[in-house]
Amino acid sequence: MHVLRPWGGRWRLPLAALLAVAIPAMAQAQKATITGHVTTVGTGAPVAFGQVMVVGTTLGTTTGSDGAYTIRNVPAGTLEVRVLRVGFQGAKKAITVTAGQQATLDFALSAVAVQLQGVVTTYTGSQRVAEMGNSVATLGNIGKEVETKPVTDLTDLMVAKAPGVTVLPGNMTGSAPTIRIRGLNSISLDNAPLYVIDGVRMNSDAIGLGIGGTQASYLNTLDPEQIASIEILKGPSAATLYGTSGANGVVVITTKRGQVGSTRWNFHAQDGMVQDRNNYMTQYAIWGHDPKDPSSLQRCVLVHIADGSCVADSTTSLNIFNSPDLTPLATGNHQDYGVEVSGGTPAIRYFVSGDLTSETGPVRMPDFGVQYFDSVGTPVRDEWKNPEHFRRNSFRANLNMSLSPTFDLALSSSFGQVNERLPNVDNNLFSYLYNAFQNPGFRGPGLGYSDIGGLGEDLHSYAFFTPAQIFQQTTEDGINRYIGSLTGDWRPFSWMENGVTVGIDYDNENYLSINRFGEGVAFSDNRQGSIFSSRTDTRDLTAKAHSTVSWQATRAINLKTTVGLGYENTGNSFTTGSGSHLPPGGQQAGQAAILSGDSQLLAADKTLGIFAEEAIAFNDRLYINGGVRTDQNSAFGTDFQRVYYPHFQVSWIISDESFFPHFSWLNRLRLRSAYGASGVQPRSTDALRTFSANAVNIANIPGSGNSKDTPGLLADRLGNQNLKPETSSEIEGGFESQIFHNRVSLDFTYFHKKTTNALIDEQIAASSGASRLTLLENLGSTENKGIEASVNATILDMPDLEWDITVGGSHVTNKVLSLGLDPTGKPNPTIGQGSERRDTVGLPINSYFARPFTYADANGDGIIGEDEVTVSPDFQYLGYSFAPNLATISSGVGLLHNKLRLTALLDYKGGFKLFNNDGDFFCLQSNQCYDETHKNASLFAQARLVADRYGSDGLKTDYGYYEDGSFWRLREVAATFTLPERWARVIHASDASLNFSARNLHVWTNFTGTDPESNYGDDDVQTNFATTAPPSYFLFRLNLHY
Amino acid sequence: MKNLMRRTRRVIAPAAVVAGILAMSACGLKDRLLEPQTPQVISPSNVQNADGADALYVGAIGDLADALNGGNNNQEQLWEWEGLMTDEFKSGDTFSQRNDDDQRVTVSNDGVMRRVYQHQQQSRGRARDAINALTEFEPDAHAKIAEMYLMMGFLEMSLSQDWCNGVPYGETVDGVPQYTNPLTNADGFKLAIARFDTALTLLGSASDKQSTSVRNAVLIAKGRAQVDLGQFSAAAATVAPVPVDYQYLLTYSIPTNSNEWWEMQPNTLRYTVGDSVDKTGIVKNSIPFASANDPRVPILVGKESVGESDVSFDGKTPYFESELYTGREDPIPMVSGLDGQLVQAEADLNKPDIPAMMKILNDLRATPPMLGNYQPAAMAPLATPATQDAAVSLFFREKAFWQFERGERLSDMRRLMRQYGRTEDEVFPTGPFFKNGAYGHNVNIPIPDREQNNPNFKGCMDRKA
Repeated sequence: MHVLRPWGGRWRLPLAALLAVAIPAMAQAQKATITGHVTTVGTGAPVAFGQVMVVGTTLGTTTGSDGAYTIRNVPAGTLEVRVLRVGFQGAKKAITVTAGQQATLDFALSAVAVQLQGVVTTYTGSQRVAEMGNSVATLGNIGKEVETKPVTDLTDLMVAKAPGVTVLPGNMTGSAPTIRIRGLNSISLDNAPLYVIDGVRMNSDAIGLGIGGTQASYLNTLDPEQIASIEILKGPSAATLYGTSGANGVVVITTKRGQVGSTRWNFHAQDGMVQDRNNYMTQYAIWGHDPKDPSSLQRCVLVHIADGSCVADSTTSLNIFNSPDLTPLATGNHQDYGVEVSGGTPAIRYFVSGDLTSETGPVRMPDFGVQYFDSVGTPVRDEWKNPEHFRRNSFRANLNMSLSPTFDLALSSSFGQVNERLPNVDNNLFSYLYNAFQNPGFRGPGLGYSDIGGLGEDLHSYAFFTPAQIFQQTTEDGINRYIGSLTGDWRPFSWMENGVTVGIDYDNENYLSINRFGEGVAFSDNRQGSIFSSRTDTRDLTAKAHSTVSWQATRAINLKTTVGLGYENTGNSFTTGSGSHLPPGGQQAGQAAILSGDSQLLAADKTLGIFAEEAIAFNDRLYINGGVRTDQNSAFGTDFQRVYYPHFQVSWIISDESFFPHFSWLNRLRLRSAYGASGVQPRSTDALRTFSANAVNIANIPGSGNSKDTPGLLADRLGNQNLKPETSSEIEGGFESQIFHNRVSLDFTYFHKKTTNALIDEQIAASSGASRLTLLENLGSTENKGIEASVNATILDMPDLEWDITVGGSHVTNKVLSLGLDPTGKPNPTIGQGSERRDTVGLPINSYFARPFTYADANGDGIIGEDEVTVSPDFQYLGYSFAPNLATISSGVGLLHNKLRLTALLDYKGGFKLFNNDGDFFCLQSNQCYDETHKNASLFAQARLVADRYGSDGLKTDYGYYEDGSFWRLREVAATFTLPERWARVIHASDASLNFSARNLHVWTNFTGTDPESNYGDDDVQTNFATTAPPSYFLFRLNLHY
Repeated sequence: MKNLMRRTRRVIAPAAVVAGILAMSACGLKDRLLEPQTPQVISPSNVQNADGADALYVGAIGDLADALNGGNNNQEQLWEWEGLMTDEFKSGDTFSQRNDDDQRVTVSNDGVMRRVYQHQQQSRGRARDAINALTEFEPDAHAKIAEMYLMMGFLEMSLSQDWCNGVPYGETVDGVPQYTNPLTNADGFKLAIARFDTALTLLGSASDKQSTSVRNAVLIAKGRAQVDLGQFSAAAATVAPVPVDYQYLLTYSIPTNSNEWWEMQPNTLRYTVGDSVDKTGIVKNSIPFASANDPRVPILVGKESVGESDVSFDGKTPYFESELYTGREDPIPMVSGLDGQLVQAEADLNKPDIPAMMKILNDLRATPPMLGNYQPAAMAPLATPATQDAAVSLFFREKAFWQFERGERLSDMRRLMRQYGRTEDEVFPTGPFFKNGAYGHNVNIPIPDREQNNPNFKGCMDRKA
């Protein structure tokens, strides 16, 4: 057989390049064209979106909606063509073509029960999964997920979908999630992954709103409807080519594109309810009296009953959230409407979509608030009534053009607009939850509680302020976002591909927090009015280029060499203006009596990297890949110039080898292993010695009162000229297999990641008088190792009944290996002496510590008194502050020829401690908490309160409020009914489906706080304080396809 | 061999790309692409001149005002923390750290206390930065350099007055910490006096307004440090030249920083003026600042207007607001001629010459000096106490009213134990604590655990007064 040998004489390269550019038509004439159709075995149905590629070359295309494909510029000779498609068994055929021939090659693919992704997106383009030595989490057919699951944002697509990926969803409408992959690597830097969309680095930051803790997120500007696929590269072994930013993993998002065929229209309409069904804490009051004076009314607590200083008469309780006339919660609403149109010819394909999303969260002004404003003649604004609101308008236009047989151009362009509004919440005196949690434990006045606010208003049992006044302060954040990229793909020869991508993510954020004159809570000068507004422009520029040449060295060996460069430039600028003491009606910072402002010109982080990679395929079943990327970065110290990130991968489909024993139950076994390194850069100014401005009111004669404001300076960062990136190197190994006639797939991965040159804020003792008490240095090292496994099985596959189940799980062991040396040259054992969150050698990053206590009901009265608890002076390690154990179980049942499909998803996180901040704080500060006032409170619950509030021997501890954070959650259920074709035809649709789905239905946990996912931060450690918990969604959706 | 040649040629294409990249680098494009873009940064070159030195001097003074009693947020400084630990103030807050401080049970890993300590120490460093810059670029600015030594000494004196024995006083040179051994409080006072003497040497006999003002401040500060060491007569001699009406004021403005008493009292209601009675009954040893109706501590009780509160931030503790230095921009004296008078009165107390002491105290009551911008009304003279012990009690009560909110009270309580032989339960608020449990036994503030990053530091040497 003649083997393709495209490389010719000495001048072939420049000559062919010239010809390819100048006269592509001529070039095409000298090549063959392969066309064909890809269909489904048995039904003959066209297979759209199939990946068709010529093996050993850079040539390839995608099938259209009719299953048709065309590959031009094919060199003459005998070659192999492969087709891959999720849900189908891949196929490969040989074909011999001659110059100028129009050859036809059709494929019929067999559907397989197990859904495997064939191709994933890498830094330089697409690559077969089978050729990759690292595991890649692919989140399935996103378009289908969105149509059939309770999906309202990107987080919903990612939570509980991939082993090793920890997702902590936001708890309020549009609030920020926390996403981490394979545990924590960095002690001091951000552990969030990198996000890339259509080849462009994407801003995924959380946005502080100043409402107490809960943040917004740039991630929520993405419209899930526009996403075609999400792939997660879990660490350096997979993300080496992403260089100095890929150490925490990379989330690769690819948006939908048009396919060859007639114009297709898709419409969807989604509507549903959003409910906060969480069990918030109840407050109690023990009404009692002074034993010496029965007429003296007192609020008792258990310890005072125990010591005889208070005699209990009765107990009352109040849960504001369970009181319909008091609660600030109601049923919210989620709506989403969109349209997509796509199609095209082999020369040009298009995808255009528009989508409107609107969500009004469950927080709303209670009726008594509205009545209060009515009574004082104040018109109630909608933003007061519904302070939790999110609106997203998104538009996308993607275009693929084949300008010549050798040159393709892909344009991705999206514009999104988000407006979000949230109330004061969390760690905030004006938090509606804080004021509800501090209620007296009863309605009306009593026990020192007046029930009258600072304006003379009825507090309705809220502690200090009611939602009526709290919600008058309005906090809004708006984002206008453009993400666009242009990718050129030039294939002058069948063995050469050159790609260039340039793109930008440009975000304009407008923030406003306003409390108008005469509005808001009566505290300090709050009702004098205040305003804070800011404009922040953020832009991420991405440019990258690569050149890949392929060479079929022998029939058995194919080589592929890639070199390229990548450049990323991330910057932001801002202006802020704020004022307090507004005039009546004033709504601008400039109208205030007290003004301040700030601004920053564009500041940027820049990375320039070059890379080279060699991939070798042996017999199309053993794949070896090695390469290196080297980066320079503007944030590196001046004494550090360049970092190198090597990688090496092996993938072996061992079951295809002749020597491998063939078992009837084993269909495929692939072994894989990968090693790679990547990094995380320091922050842009970390290496610099800097000074900060400090305006001072200073007297002209020292110490006199005749003073004026004068600009001054203070030393700030100490600087570190040797600063370099953290480098994470990772080795992983595992296997994938399909068994039992491809009905079951197994996937197992072991990984071991070590981060060296770990950037650590070396602690400096204050007695040095240093301007900063930390110095960022490359001091330490950390380790993550663990396993990830998943089993995907089709248990039943009958015409009327299908049943599949997927079980996945992961475990990570995280450890600090070293923390550098102290000033005397001894190893630093820990960072964070005396604190309850520490980094200690041998223990996980952000470990929890606390002083334990012991207790005994010595007098047997059933109450733990102040003298029945002993607090240890020594701190004890408590455990992980993040979940090292993850598991998911998802299952689907198809009925009526799969016309009706039912699915459910269970999500588990475990093995970690979670600080019950609400329990700790409100028991410590009030006399209304369960531990302190309820006769049924366990001895342990009482003891933890006594240890926290009263302590022993001058020592107090919140040890008892570090609780097991493990939980199982019924994350999703869904039912999708594909309407009979005749019904669809009534509305002239090709097909239609109805979907009912629900999210966050129930949680099983021993955690005694509101919810084990109650969280307001985007930090590595979960934080809750008067914080909401995940809301439940009940959604109904109609999908129409034309 | 043929394959090898082909392979070699195959490498040409990528090599060309690499060559292009390298050529681009050589052309300098790489440098432009990677050029740091940090317009927010003020770099060392900006301070390598006289203007820069002046800016560091200004910054250091502002930081001193902040470290003692300033800021723009809910973060108290030394004088608030110290006042809360004594009978001057009570916690009306939900912050457990503030309640612990009020209860005298603060432990060494307390995060709020740590910040207060760190600010004192870092403010010393700012003064040293300014001294270095002024010495290099403005060597003739003796008054400014002397003022910076005053600042260092005052902070070292304050740290020794309030924290336990064992505070180290190191420095940072060219960004490298220079750790030193911990000092006893007494050695800390001696170190402060050495700074004050350096300042006085720099000032020499200069008679310009700047030098005169700084000299007065240095003399008062030195006198106070001498009192801390029990050198009463020497202290009286030191402060003698300073006029009674002299004040070295820390000043504030809304655009820069606020008086922290404003922040902790009217703006957030977290601190309430202490009293001798609370819900537990009589608070032993507490001066009734809130209820004494003393002209030196004017008090606002309850609501002044709609929207104001008669309870503190925690919603339970009755709120009493000091009207003394509580305006957002109210200046507050760091040292004053009044302090000098009290140093002299204490010297008389220790001679003992009680009539002489009483004359000073009654003269002050008859013609009260300004307290910042506040002019107290004249007060009736006090009767001469019959015993030395009564004289001690009267002196320190008078001193407490005169120097209310100025960070003196904890030092005086410690001196009552250390220099006058009184016991803790004769000096500090003692007995049931109004929020829970009982008062603890702290008579000073523990040095934070974080100081253990200094390898010479192992914790407080002792917790003695």
